[in-house]
Amino acid sequence: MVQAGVHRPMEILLVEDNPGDVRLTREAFKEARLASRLSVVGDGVEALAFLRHQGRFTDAAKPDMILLDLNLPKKSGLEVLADVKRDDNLRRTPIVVLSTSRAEKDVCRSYELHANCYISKPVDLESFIRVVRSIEKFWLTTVALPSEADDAAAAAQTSSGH
Amino acid sequence: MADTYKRKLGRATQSVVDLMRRCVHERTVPALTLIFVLAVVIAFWHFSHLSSRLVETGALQATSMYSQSITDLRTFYNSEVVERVRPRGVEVTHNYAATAGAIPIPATFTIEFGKHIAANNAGMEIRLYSDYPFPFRKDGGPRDDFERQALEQLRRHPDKPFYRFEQFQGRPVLRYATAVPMKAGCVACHNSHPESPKTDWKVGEIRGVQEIVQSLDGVTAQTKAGLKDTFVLLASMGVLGIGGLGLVIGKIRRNSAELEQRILENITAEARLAALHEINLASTSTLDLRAVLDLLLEKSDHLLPFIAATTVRLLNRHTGALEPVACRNLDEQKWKAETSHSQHGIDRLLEQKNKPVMVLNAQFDPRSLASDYLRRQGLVSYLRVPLTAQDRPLGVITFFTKVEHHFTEDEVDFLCALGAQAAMAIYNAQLYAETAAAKSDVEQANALLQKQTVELARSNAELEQFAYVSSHDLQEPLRMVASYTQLLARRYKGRLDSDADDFIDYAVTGVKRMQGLIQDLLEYSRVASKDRFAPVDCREVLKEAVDNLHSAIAGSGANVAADPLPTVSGDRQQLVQLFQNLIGNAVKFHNHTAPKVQVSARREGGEWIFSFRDNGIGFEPEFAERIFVIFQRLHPKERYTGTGIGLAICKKIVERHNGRIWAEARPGQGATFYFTIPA
Repeated sequence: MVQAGVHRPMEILLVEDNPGDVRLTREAFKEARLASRLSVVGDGVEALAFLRHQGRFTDAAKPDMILLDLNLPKKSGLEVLADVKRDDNLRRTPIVVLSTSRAEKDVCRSYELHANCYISKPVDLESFIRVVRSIEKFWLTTVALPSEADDAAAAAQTSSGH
Repeated sequence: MADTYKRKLGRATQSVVDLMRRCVHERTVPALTLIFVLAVVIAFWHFSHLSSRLVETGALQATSMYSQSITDLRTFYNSEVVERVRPRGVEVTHNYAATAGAIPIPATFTIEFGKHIAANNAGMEIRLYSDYPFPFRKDGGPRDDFERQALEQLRRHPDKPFYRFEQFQGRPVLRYATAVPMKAGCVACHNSHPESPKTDWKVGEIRGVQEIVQSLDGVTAQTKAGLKDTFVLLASMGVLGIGGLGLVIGKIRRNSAELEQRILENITAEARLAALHEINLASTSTLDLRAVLDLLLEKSDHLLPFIAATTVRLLNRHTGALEPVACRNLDEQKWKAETSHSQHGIDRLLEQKNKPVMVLNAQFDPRSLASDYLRRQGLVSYLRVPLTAQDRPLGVITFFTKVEHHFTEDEVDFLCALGAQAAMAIYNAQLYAETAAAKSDVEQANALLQKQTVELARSNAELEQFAYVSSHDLQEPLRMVASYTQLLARRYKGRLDSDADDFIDYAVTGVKRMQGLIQDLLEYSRVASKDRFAPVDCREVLKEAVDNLHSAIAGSGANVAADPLPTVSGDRQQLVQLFQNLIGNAVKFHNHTAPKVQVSARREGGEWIFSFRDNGIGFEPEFAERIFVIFQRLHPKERYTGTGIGLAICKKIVERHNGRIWAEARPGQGATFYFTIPA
């Protein structure tokens, strides 16, 4: 186990179809002055392809964290969440649901599908920047996450366990 | 032949029996009189027969005794007198009266004795006669048929007396003849007497006949008188009896006639009552006027058979005319066509003061309008009964007869009762029709209202859904605008010219305001969402609301105080929002003094009345209702921020809790907001 965020910038996958939001998130990260690399995919199908290194994403880096919007074309955020959490190789990657929805049912459903946390996108920029900063602070510096090596070992163990 | 005869006899007997039975049943007194007279005649005949038999028997007995006594006397005279004196030379001769010292011969003695008796005893005669009479006897031979027959009979049967009742010399008599045999003491004398017409008499030979003629005059008269008395007695008893019987029968007849009359009256009254009841039942069980009228007409027809036709005319309340409606035993179409609609129906009814009108001869009575028609129909008398219910004249029912008829008080009463029933039925039916019409109007209005309500509810729901969806969907682009405007301000403020800075500021302010509006609109539309009501402690609600308003309260130095608050049934989140909005308003709208808010609740009837009293700026009472309308604001937003949705949300929450909300205020003297929640 390795303390993250010391040797390399964090890999973050942002699943978001709205370019405005993508940019806003980028800007928020920039404003927060965080050293992280943000990869972006526009729909749920691409998100899974990215995570599984399929198609054009064969060389994609394994993300340390996924920021997932719920309202996505082709495959919804909740479906992506379900697929990832079913996948032995992927489910250890923390998923932060970042949605404009404040609806109770979206929140509940997300946690039922084992989302690691649910954040309602603030309408106010200042608040959004604060949220992004706190995400960074919490997930990338405060908590301990499994390393890639640990990941592989765990995956192998889980498979043999089956 | 015999069968035919028997049959004929049987028929005759039967017809006689029938006749008698009819007589006895129908003419009791004459029949009884006849029977009695017959009985008296038979009894009289029987008595008279019996009495004549008795008379005859008595006379026979008496006469035979007389006869015997006279025979005995003659025999005794002969043996004890004649035989003893003759040897002493006493002459025995028939002419003894003329001869001194002589005595009569037995026959003469008997004859003389008979004469003597006859002289003393009127109606009795004793005769002796013979086939061989002595010549000196003037009437010694048989004088008539009876005497000749007696001689002949007695010669043949000397021991049997020969008698006969017959008219003798114009009066009823018993003639009793006995044989006079030749005795031993007599033979010698008779055979030796010089004047004897027969000289070879032997002892035992029948010498002659002794006859006693007994008059029955006296006895018969006596008997007849007795019979007459008896007859008179019987007859008078009979007359008395028949008279009494007649009286009794007459009385019974009268009683039974009265009884019959009374029973008939009872039956009639009962039938009428039953008819009235039936009509009553029909009039309460059906609202079909025609059916009731038909039943009524049928009943009147049936119970008062002399009624030849009946008509019903009803008042048209719009035109005031009497219109023909129904009739019986008349061609309805013709009747309706012929009967002029009386244009003065109501006037005429009122004129008659709702009394029945009887017209003996309608064909010539000026009161009947259609006398021509009545003449053609052969209708003569009529009784017109007004139809009145609840003091409302409804029309008339008229009963016609074909012969002149004076309706009795009884009939008028019954027909009036019929009319009253009919009026009730008509009244009910008319009332029902009116009510039905009114009801259908109300129903239509209700249906429309219901439809409108449903549509309103649907459009409300759609509106709420729209508000929710739009406010939700509006959030996204708004967030973009807000975020990038803010980003712009953050990155480029002071780096462009002052105009650009102002523009950016306006944009940011506008966006923030719009965010507030949309946020509140979303809240407002969410109030409609259905949640289950549960008991909610209002103290906790207040605490939560105050907590949520912590910064505003602290910032303004407000004081929120509360009296004891109840537990009510409601939606906790919404109640928190309600309290929060009301307290928030109170805190917000203040002048320079520190805001004070007093929260109270009191029970009144079936509800709790909550009040939120503040010492703020208040408002003109005329705005008391307007402030609850969405987006309505009383104050410039530069001074008091807000979207104008807060009180609209309050109103919606209260109404969702089946309560009312209102406010009382005066400018500068604070405001009090009230709302109710069912206890």
